[in-house]
Amino acid sequence: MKSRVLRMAVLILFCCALAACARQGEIRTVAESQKQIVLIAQSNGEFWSTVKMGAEAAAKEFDVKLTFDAPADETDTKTQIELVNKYLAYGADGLVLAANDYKKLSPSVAKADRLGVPVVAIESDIDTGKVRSFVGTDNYQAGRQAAGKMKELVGKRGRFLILGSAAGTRNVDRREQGIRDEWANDPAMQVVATAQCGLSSASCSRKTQELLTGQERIDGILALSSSAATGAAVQIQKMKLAGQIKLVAFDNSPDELEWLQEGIIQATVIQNPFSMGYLGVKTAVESLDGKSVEKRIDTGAKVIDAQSMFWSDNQKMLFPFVQ
Amino acid sequence: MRGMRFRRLYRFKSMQFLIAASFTAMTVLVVLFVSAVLYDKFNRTAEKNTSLNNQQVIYQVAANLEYYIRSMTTVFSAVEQKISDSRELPNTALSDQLDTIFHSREDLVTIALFTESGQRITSLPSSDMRSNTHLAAQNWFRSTVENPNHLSFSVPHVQNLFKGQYKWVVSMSKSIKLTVGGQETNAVLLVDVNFKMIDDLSRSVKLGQKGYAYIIDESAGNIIYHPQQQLIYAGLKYENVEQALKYTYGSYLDDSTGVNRMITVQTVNNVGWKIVGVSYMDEIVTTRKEITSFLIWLLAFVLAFVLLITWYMSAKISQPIQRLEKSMQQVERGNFNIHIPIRRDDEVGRLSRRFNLMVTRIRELMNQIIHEQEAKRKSELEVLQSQIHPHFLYNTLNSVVRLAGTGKNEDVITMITSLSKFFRISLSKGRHVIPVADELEHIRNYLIIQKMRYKNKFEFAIHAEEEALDCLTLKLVLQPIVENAIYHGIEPGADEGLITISATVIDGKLRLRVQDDGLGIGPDQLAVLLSDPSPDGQRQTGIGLHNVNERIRLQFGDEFGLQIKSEREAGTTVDVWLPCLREEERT
Repeated sequence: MKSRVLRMAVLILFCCALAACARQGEIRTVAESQKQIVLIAQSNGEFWSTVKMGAEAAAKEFDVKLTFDAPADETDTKTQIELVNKYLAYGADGLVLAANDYKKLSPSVAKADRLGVPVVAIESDIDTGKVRSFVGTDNYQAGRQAAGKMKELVGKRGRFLILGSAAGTRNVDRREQGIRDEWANDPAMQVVATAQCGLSSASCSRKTQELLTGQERIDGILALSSSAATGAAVQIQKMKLAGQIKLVAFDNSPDELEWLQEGIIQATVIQNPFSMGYLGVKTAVESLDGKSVEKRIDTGAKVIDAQSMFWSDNQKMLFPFVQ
Repeated sequence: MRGMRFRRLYRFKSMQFLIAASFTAMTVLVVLFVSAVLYDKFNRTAEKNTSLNNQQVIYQVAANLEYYIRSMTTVFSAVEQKISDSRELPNTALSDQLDTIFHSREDLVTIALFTESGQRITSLPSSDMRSNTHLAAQNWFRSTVENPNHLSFSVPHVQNLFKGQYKWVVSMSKSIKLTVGGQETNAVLLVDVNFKMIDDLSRSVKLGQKGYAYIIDESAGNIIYHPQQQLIYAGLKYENVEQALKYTYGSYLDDSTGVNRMITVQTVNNVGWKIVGVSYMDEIVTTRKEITSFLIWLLAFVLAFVLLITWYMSAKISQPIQRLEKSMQQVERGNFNIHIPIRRDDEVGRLSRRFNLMVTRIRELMNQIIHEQEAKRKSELEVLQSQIHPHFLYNTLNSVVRLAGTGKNEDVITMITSLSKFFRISLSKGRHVIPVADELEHIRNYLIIQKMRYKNKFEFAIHAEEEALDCLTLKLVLQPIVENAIYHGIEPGADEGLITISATVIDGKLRLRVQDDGLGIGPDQLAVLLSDPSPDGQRQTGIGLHNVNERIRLQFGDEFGLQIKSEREAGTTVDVWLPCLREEERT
């Protein structure tokens, strides 16, 4: 009799426990803490705000918290390294890094890798095997595209200047290499000089003036960065050489687009900064989730000229959507 | 002990297991079935609700968008009115008015008037125009020339007319007539609208967590607005516009992008746009997951509950049966001292009661058998004793000595001969059963001896039917009766007595009768004569009669045995009833 009562009591207790468990299961929601992805860009310029837009789109789609930060200057490697250290200390889950320097950022990447934070390099590659993926333009191929367009513009023969922004910048070096390789077997296409003109268009304008006045006849200028392109365009306009000296540029800053429509810049090779931002964050999230990711993702490059710039498809590429 | 108990409880072939298993299986099946039905029902309802909800939301957006486009059309008409009202163009009054309109709304990008050849008449902003605009080739310009007096809406494009800005706009344009320098000419009025309002409208759409709405152009399927426009432009995202174009309104499921999504379409009147709402099925699935986990919990709970209940119930049902089985096992091993306590008056209770009765009966029968066997052995021992009868032998031999002393040789011979015959039949090769003829011969020898000992105190006569002689009888049944008749009937009396012995067959039964004319037996003594001798041995008389009676009844059953009739001073008749068995029937 006593044991029966006991058994009954145990049974009721067990049921209550079960019910409690069930209720607990209902209350527990999916309040998982959002992963934090930090995007460290090279600067706060036009190009990078488009990258940021892409990153934000990905962050929204994959439900992660995006933090954007960048040094004021594209050459400020020191600040960028500090930023990386700062966000690693804050406990970032993933890092999307557009390195200012091919070599100097690699210890930072190695450090992040030690901490188990996946790093995705965008736009500029980093000299380390520790990055999970590189998302960006194949700059060598972009250089060859630019060279091909220049050849088409001048009619298979000419003397050219190559104008870069800063010596030792890997992307610019790759573009130059692409141009030289494209013309390596074509003695008619001759690179007269290569010069670095710094980050401001004013200094590039001066440099262009210097180069143009000292030379015989120049048929075209290949401007490897947007500051070089606008500098050269301003100088060509000033010297009233529009059309005589063909200008092939890289990227699509608003100034470059104005010059393109005005006909000073004949063509520009554009990258896809929105895709870089989007795919950078997407790849970081994927490697955080333990999925295998492609080691290199090419976002492509496209040659745009004054005729094609308002074609429906190209409009979409050239003008980042802003209200 | 506990382990054994446990094993006993979970024997797989036990009734308890059968009950528990079938009950559990049934419950699980029912719960599963109910769960499946609930789940299915919930699923359908969730899908239907989502579809309805999406349609409502999208309809609302379409209504808002329509309202917005009407208001833009109104603005356009106002501008058109102002322009046609002014006699001369350009004039400052008109410019001021247009400027007021232009700045009153932040979604206006351009208000401009061009001649049909593409020359600017007036414009806001009034900044320099770019070269290379290819104005006349632009879509919005061409469509006004092709469709005069019709307000056309362009697809989104970048307005490249004015220096310092590249903005994405939708162009509203119309060809109008106006007077310039006193001359009537055709002109094109352009009002560019940015995406601010459309963006606001679309962003207000809430279709679950991830859902969104986009706008397509009905005629060509161009995407006019998409919250993830850049992704579409960069080719990172794809919308299955063709499918949406087939619908005027309604919902359908689409998995062309690799994800299961519900698409809701609503047409916006008078611009030829369609709003397409996208919601993700996996969000319905999220709630579905909640339901699934709830159902799993429910199932687990019910299962645990049912397991406990059935375990308890089946134990309750099978335990009394198991107890019964155990008791039967005990009986099987020979323990009849068992009594099952009856707890309730159910089937098992009744079965237990019957079992108890049965065991009791068996126990009684066994005791009876033991008792009977004992009695039989005892009486056989007595027969054995009576075969030897030392007292009788001693008396007889004394008589022989006395006769020999007095020289009565004849009598000595008779007596010795009778004694010898008497003993021969007494022994009769150890058999228990002998023919009636032998039994009568035996009693005759006994009577001869006794008659000589009692000096002819009595006479005797023996009659037997021929038929009765062959019958078999237990041996030495008559001797105790005759002994009684002599000692208690004849000897105490003063007169000479007569003892008559007869053997008759009546209705197939053998009757041996011993009749004397002695003193007789009192009714009180007669009543106890055949009953069990009291254990204290007070009653000495009649033990022989009782033994004979017992022997017969043990051998042949209760219908046989002794019958005594007696009357004071008239004598006693003792009938011995036996079955008339013959030699050949004996086995």
